[in-house]
Amino acid sequence: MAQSGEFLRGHTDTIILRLLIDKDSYGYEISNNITELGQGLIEVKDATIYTAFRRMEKEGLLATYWGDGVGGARRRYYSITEKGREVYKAKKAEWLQIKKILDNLIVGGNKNA
Amino acid sequence: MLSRFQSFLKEEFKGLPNTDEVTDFKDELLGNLMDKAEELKAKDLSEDEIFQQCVQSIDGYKETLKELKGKPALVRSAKKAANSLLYALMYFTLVIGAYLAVSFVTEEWRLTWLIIVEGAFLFTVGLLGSLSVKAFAKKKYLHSRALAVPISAILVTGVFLAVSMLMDLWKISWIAYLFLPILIIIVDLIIGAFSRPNKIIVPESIALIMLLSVMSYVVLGILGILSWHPYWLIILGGALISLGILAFYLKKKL
Repeated sequence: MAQSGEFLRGHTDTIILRLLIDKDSYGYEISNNITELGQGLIEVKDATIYTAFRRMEKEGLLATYWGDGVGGARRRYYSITEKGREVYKAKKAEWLQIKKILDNLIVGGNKNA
Repeated sequence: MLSRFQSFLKEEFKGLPNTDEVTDFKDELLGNLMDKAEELKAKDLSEDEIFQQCVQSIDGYKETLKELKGKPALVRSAKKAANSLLYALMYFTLVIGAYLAVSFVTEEWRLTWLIIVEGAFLFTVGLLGSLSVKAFAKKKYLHSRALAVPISAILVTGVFLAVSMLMDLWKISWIAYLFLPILIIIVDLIIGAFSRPNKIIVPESIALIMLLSVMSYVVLGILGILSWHPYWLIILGGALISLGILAFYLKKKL
């Protein structure tokens, strides 16, 4: 049941920023982490992640550097910047507020579901 | 598998401008493909199946490729080149200004032209040095090390000219060139130490020790500081130290 497109629309950047707060990472690892943390129900295409990386790097939310990859290839690592951390904080606060409102609307305040 | 992916990406990227952004994107895709291939190896698939699954997984990148194809890379390159030219012009204006100022004050016109020459040398060393650092940052260590050779040669030539002209030591200052191979090896060792932090660079270390001992003997002999005999023992000392390092390294390996 991968309804990932609808669930994640607008939140891919925030998810990536959150994962990079934990540690620097690279595209393939982030994609796998999202699938794992999404318990297999959510999948993000590599292309979506890559587009998000490029956009966030241009906006100054991420920095990049090269590291050694597998079999002689290079790996591009991403790290979150101070600006990225501030944006994540703001997006997280926004999400918590929306989540509260949606809970009220869908589950219904103190009423049982 | 690496070469197979490289050939695949070479085809996919045909027609794209040769910019840093495009090269970096290609390298990133290659890294992703190799990571995916590594994961699929555990699933007992054939090499062809692994290859097919990997290239299918990056299908979504074609949109980004279209975007990169359409970008006005020429305009961006021209802007970058214009900025570089402006900085170069500012630098040479300063150098010529310094030359004229010093010349008029000291009236040593036959010597002060050296300011322009040394200024040009410094500019070239700075340019090559920034390319070497850029290559090092991109983990292209061979390019970085190769650039160390002309950088060292220009630095030594600058020292040779300065010592010869300012101290009138033309008969001796050529000795500076004897240190050129030593300088190249030292720079190579430094870059090598950063690129291979866990490996002892034994052949280069031995070459450096032997070169240093021979150069010390020759230079000190030419300058008359030490006599030729018995100070040839310096070279023997260098050889013994090199053998010691080699023996220690081989013992560690075995």
